[in-house]
Parts: sequence; C-alpha cells; structure tokens
Amino acid sequence: MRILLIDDSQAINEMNSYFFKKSLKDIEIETAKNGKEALAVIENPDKKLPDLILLDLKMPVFDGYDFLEYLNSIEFNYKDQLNVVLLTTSMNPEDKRRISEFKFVSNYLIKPLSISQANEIVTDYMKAMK
Amino acid sequence: MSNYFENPRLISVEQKKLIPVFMEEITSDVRKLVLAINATDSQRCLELTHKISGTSISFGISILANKAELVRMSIQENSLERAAEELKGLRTVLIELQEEAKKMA
Repeated sequence: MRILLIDDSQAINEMNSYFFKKSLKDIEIETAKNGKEALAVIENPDKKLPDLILLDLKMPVFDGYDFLEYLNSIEFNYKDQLNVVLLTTSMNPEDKRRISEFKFVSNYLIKPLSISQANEIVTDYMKAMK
Repeated sequence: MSNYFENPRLISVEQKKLIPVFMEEITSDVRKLVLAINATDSQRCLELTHKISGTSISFGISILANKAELVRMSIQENSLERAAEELKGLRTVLIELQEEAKKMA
C-alpha cells in the first residue's frame, strides 16, 4: 500500500506516518508539505499513483481546495481510483459540504488522527482490494 | 509545571522520538508569528496560529493549541494589540516545553 500524506506540518506528517506504519508493515509513505509538492508526486510518470492520499485543508501556497479542484480539472490515468481522505481541524459544515462534492474524497476526519483511525483506513483499503 | 509530553498522544518510544521534530517546528513557527505580528501581517498570523494549533493538538499539547487559538481569535477580531498580549502566554508555554524537551534529550 502506498500513501501520500499532505500537511504543511512536517511533525504531523511524521506522526501520521508512524500511525500508518504501525497499522501495516508493508506500506510505503511519501509526504508533501502543500498541494503543489503533492501534485509533483502524483504527476510523476515514474511513480505509481498512491492508493490513498491524506489531505490537510488549510495550507499556505496551494491548499486542500486548490489541490482537489486541480485534480478535478485534469484528465489522467486511474483518476477514478483516487482515494482522498481529508484530515483537518475545520468543523465548519460548509467545508464538509464543499468537500463532499469531490467524488474521490471518501472520508472527512477531524485532527488529530488516531492510531485506530489509521488502522480503520488501512483495513477498509485491504477489504476493498480483496 | 506539568509534564506536557506525558500525554495519551505520546505513548510509545517511537512517538517520543518525534518530540525534537515537533519542538523545532513549533519554535520556528512561533518565531515567525512574532515577526508577523510585528509586521501587522494578519493573514500570515492566521496561517501560523492555525498551524501551531493543529500541530500542538496532534502531539497532545492542548495548552499550546489553546494559547495559539487565543492569538488567532484576537487577530480575527482585528486586535493585534491583544494578539501581542496573548502571544506572551503562548511564548511562556513554549519556554516550559523547551525546558522539558531539554530534560528528556
């Protein structure tokens, strides 16, 4: 399983990375500190598309909305296989509503991520792969 | 002074190894926040308080997250003067955290 963690906090990316590595041994994790860095990973033709993207909403430079809107606007292989989970501090119902319009967003979680949530995300993915 | 790093978010040895990463980032962000407040750059202040708050919550340091939220609320109410006051409280907690982190190193 390959996961891309996008958050402007390196400390958060490392903490979440720890949770996912605890949940699954065979896991490859990449991190990006904003949407632009994340796009460079996704658009790299030498790399396989991540199985899951954990995305923060509020980031400087290129935030979660910019990232999702850009993905929505372009055509690329396996787009229908994209699986994005939002991880944000925003409890604003308007954010939740707007995010639900992106069909490749499967979940909207409030920070902080817990180890049990990481486990659940990994388990759901493994079930879907069977 | 309580031990802020003894909390349910930082249970394992591996998690405790992330404390220096957290401290380096938070210290740098608070420094940037001081500069942003001095420059009366409200937008940058909001970005930084949001980041400090989110990172602190992820490491179970809710007191620092609350202090950052107080600074953020002052900025949202267009009171940079009060934000500067609230910043003092945030910096006090940061100093305590730095001392605690040093003891753990």
